Amino acid sequence: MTIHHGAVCNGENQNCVLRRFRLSLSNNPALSQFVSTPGRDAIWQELDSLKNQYKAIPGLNIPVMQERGDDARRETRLFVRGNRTTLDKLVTPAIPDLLGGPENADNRLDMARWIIGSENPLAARVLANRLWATMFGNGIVETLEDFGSSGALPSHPRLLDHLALRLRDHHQWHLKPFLREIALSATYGQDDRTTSLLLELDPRNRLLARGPRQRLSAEMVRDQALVVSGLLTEKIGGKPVYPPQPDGIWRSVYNGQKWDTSTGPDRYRRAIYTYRKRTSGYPGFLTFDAPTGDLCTARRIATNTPLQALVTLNDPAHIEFAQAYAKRMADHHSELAKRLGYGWKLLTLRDPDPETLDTLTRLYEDLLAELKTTPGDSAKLADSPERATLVIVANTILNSDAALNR
Amino acid sequence: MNHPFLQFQHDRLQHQTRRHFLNNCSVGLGGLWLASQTSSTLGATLDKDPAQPFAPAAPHFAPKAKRIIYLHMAGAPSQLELFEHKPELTKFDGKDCPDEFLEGKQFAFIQGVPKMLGSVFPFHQAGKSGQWISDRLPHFEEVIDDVCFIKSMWSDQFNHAPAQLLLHTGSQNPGSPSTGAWTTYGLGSENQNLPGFIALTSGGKNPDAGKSVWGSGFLPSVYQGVQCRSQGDPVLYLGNPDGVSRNLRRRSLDALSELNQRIATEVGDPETLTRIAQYEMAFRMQMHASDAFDVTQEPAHVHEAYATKPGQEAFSNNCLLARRLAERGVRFIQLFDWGWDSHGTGPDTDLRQGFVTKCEEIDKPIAALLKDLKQRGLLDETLVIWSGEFGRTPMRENRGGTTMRNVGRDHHPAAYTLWIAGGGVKPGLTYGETDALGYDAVVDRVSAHDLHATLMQLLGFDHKRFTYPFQGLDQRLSNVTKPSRIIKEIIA
Repeated sequence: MTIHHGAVCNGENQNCVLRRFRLSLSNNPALSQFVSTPGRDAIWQELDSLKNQYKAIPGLNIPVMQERGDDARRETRLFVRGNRTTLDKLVTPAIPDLLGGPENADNRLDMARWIIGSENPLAARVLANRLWATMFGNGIVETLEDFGSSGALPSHPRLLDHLALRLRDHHQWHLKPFLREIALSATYGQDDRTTSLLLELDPRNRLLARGPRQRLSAEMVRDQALVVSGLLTEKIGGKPVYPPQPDGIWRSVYNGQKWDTSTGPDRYRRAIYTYRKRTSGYPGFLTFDAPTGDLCTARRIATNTPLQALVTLNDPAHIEFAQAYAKRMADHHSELAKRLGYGWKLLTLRDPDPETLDTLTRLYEDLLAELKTTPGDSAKLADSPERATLVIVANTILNSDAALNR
Repeated sequence: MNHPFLQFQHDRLQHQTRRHFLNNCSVGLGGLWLASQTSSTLGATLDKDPAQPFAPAAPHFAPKAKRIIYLHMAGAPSQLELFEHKPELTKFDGKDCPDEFLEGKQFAFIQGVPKMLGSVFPFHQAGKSGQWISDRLPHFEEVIDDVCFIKSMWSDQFNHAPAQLLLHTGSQNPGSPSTGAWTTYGLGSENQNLPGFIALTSGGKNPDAGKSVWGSGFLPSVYQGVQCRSQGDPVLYLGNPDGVSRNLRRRSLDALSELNQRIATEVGDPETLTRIAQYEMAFRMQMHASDAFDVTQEPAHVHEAYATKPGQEAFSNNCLLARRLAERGVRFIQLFDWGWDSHGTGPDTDLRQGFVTKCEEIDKPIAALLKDLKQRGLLDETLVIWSGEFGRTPMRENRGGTTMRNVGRDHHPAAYTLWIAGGGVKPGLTYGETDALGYDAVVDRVSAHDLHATLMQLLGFDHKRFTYPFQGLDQRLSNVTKPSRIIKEIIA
């Protein structure tokens, strides 16, 4: 007798072990009669077809956290010295005493209510601080991840409390109006220009005597280029996508998973839709300080390295952005100054000052002179030397400090 | 804030933040920095830029080694077929494994009572030091007198990914900085035109633990290893796009610099000036890195010595690259060679077949690397380390409780062999012992934490003082929550 199971093996050299199963035998003729009952086959077939219909309904498989029913719960016991094989006394759900929560909380909902309730000011402070840091680059409490005894003290404790109360009570935890309030504040609206005196007195702008200025995050670098180049696919949600990445980097161990580069609109989705895998992050993002996912990371420390320059200068994905960006400029007008001005404004929302326009114009002329003599090179970038030149100019603009900061 | 402790703590946390942190790196540039000035191609002004996280920095005391080349055989090679001579085990070959080896033990795949398995290959003593070696590494034998074996390595992880993480980061969980990250964080790099920490892979797969084994964990991400390739652009995105000549690139960088200079003058953000410098560095890196990875510059006899495989991804090519990178002052070079997981589930993982091929793939390149470094006077200041992430069982694997057609061994964290050569380590020494059957490390046991403490010592750091505050602890490579000791006995 052979028994087949449908369990899937984990990779090419791992045996699949069925941990627990039950096999029953019977010589009772009623059983074989029951199995061969005429209608029984049809019932199973109907079940199969219903299952198939169910599967055919399009939808996303999103895991939803749910409390298990009493009958489905398992016992949770203390592990002696952390060893999972030596079990100690039974424990029940509760909020750790250390946190000072209510005593009668015995499920996740109670805990959630307590966390956002009026007795616990911490949640609103932590969230307000993170949102503030998103806007200003620095939190009022600089250690976004740590409000405990080993974290930093707030630079403006009363402001933090005020913001926490606004977020919790006035905006009822709605992020958008809260962010809007910060964005419209006089502090946020300040010019980011600084003086050597201010730099000396407050190099990190903790006292906010000037507006915030910070490097774009890894995701923003991609998203901004997608927006200005007009390539962005504005679709929301759906399965992750696979924008181009170099060969030989994504090499999954055991499971043979492939990086099938997305084509069509999926190629130009926002960075958050890029497939993420802890053991092999997307290289362009890692270079711009995106976390690997190994650790819960509340705060990224922005760096400024030559490898970042190589990404935005040379990554084929970024060249694609530059090509589309250049095409937008070229299609906008036939006059060079108008093309460059339009391009600059798409990115910075301002007209270029005469010096900037001059720099770009001279760059254009020099590049064009050379590309006209090398039609082979020019053809690799665009269909005419003029358009090819504009691609390199677009790439240059996307690499300027004006593009990489906000 | 008036409380002195709070004040102290606050000040220290301030130091963690980027600007201070970067400032820190440029403080205390000692002898090393001065020494590097003579060979660096950089102007003095750039080196003094406070935003240079890789500016060479002085360690706590005079280092014995300046850089590390780590050759990791991913999958864990069998110590019992290479360096662990166990005649007792051969006597017990084919006999049932004694109960005391099985009781309370967990194996990855062994089930029931497995048979003992004597070494598949004959052993002999080699070199003046008379260290034991099997017949699988005839070329490596020639340099055996330069090598210090640690036979008593042990791990507490019996799966590849956590064991690799433990060995390279000091913790079996992802999230801690790798040895290379700590090293470049502490010492910076001698060559600003190349990444300071480079990872190279061969064998067709990345290590099981993924990029975390060269990750920066809680250190700033700039210290993560840069995975380079032996095919295509060695450093990702190094080459200019198709159609953009170096000339055009230069011209566009000039314009970029002009734009950025104007922004710097107008806005006054020092970060803009740093950016200008980084773009110039990228431009130089394009040339230097291409040059460093261009192995066609090497004469034929060198290619022959390393047994390189031009145009392919191969461990031998990576060994040659490791030497070229070491020459150029790259601080930490980490090689991963995949395919050492000799379970005996098929010919590829059979000790008599796939394993033999793997040995042939590393034998000449490693011997050539050590000889080459020595000949160039680099071995004195370079640590070369070879190991897997754990060892393999003295028992033959019996997956599913059956005798398998191929011969293999299971994962074995209780004992494995690591060797280390160069940079202030006693050559020709065998340190530590396992029991007669090679099951347990019994004499002078060495954990990953001991190894890390020793490496830091050799690089000039007091491993207990070389810390980084994270999650309320002054974290260190040697793992603040675990015991660790410097293996003084192997230090020359």
